[in-house]
Amino acid sequence: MSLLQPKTLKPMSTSEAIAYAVKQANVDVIAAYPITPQTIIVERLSEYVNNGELDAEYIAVESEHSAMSACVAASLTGARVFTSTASQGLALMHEVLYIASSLRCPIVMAIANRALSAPINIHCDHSDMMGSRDAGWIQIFVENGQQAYDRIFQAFKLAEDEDILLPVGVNLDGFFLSHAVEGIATISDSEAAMFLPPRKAKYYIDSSMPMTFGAFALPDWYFEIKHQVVEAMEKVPKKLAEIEEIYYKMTGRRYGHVGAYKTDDAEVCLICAGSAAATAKFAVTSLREKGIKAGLLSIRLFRPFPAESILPHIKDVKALVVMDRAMSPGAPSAPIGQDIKTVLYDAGLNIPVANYVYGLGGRDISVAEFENIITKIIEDLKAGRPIERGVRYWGLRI
Amino acid sequence: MAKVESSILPGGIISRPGSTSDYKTGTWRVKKPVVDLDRCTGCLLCWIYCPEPAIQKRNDGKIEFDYDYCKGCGICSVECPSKAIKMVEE
Amino acid sequence: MQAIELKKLVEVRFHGRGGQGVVTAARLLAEACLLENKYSLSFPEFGPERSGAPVRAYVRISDEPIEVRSLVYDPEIVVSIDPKLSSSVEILAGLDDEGVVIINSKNVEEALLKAISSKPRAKLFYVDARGIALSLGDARFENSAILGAFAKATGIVSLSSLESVLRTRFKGAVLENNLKAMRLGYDKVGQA
Repeated sequence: MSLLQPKTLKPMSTSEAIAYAVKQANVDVIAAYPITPQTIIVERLSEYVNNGELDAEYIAVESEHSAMSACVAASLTGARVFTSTASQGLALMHEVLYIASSLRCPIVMAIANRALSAPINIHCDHSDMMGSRDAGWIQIFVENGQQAYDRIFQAFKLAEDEDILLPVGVNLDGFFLSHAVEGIATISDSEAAMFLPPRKAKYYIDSSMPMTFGAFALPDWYFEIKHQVVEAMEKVPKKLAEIEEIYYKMTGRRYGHVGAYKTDDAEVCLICAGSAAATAKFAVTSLREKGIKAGLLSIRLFRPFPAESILPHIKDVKALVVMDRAMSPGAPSAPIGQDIKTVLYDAGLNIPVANYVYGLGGRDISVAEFENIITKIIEDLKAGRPIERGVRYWGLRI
Repeated sequence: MAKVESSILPGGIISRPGSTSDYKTGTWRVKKPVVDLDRCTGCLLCWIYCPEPAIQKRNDGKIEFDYDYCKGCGICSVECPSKAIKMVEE
Repeated sequence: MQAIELKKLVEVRFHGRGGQGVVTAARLLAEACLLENKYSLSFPEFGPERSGAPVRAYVRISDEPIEVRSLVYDPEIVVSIDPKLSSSVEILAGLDDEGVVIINSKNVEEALLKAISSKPRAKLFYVDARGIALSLGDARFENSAILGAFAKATGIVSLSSLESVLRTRFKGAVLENNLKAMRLGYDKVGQA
């Protein structure tokens, strides 16, 4: 990746970077309700609309349920639509999320990942997003402000592609990313317009050309219409790679479906998603300096789960550590753990997986903790101790 | 894409306006409405209330039924202020 | 005063209370570092977001792109914007052996001096930022006074870069008073 001089970068929080990208993406409609830690994203967008910098309809709704409902309707008119939420807000949107994907509305939503009540908590974990995991949305995780900024453009291009037509969630860790200020490399408005021309919907609500959207479907058609979402999902990995290639030629930046770091000869590979991946990378570097063959794989495209991109990086390791920032009480594994184990099973691999739930409600995870986790697994392997299966809880006081 | 689902538009969009008219709901009927044209005043309240709409206005201002779409719900006979519509066995 | 050598990564922890401009001070510092062509990252650690509640904010500064996203545990530099917290030994938690501490105080409490004496190579600086701010008419200028002291004590960032950042954010009398507070903080900071 090309490195830009810090002085050429614009200081922005990840929230501000997202709002700026959405403005440059020239959205037509924003319908949103503010909630911590997402508030700054929609606050900046409402300022852009208010001061005339962005020619969009800003709908200040009275709840997230209404926000997503308005987004669905706006999207069906052929508009480019953005919203943002977190935690309870995403939970309140829940039933409409499925409508957005099944009606093939290419909405882009930034989700500032935050824990779910109770107890009430404003800090980061991935429980909110995991709750809507099966809603038919493409889900992307970002690890820093730059990724968030770049992914917004890619998300619109991906969502609005006629072969895809699915909503996209861009997930950023609440506070760890949403409120972190760093230098962001931006593209010009003309580059943005070239990369992302105005949306051209093939089918849209237009009174001069009446069509039916959201019709009733009985057992004779429901299954097929739902399966269309799966068909579209399957096209996402290839399409996203093509979109990233175009973006890479423009900016020199590309992220892939997964972020792999020193996985080639790794004995133990750690898998995680979100901002912790960046911290874990530091831990892997430090372990490598001590001669420990650790590797890191960060999940950047979560839905569809990029099994084909993941497998080459993990097929030869002795053990895997999968870190989940969300619980699935009663389940045999936490969410990403389940997916990784399925990938392994389908490939006929019986690689032991240590699945940890960590960092709920914003509990931090440090470089040293990542080092400890990996070191412990390495020691278990050396001593011939079996890797404990099932779910464990890292950082839980006992 | 599987053949069956590619035969319909994304999200089950129906792009041909008025395609519901293909679907003749008249077969659902148990009783059918019959109008007594001597009592019908042409007020068209039945036309307003008909959910289908299966009531049409004739040239003389009175009404007639489109039995292809009348489900036989009977709202017209309840609402008619001059008791001109009766529900009778098919 | 000697400038701190910019190592691979310098971590700064700000202590203060909601309403004292802790988060803003961290951000201004990060922005000034960008101007000087250093990579920087600033982020707050909120408890309940309300006025008066303890707030911490962090800045990472490096010659290389910054990737670590965890909180800061072993800061090279600790800054206390709140005068009451400035006498608390808790602000020294995790301080690097060669670290720098900058507090908002007219003088240095015995307990703090004693606590820092366990790290003989650490340095303690103090500035009466509240006094400076009040002399300009508003306690809210104290974060600028502290940043001025930071520039002098650490040498990591220049006063002029911090001033440039202030100019992009404020205007009129607010800007003038913040600039004055920053300059006074720079001039008046002393080493314990």
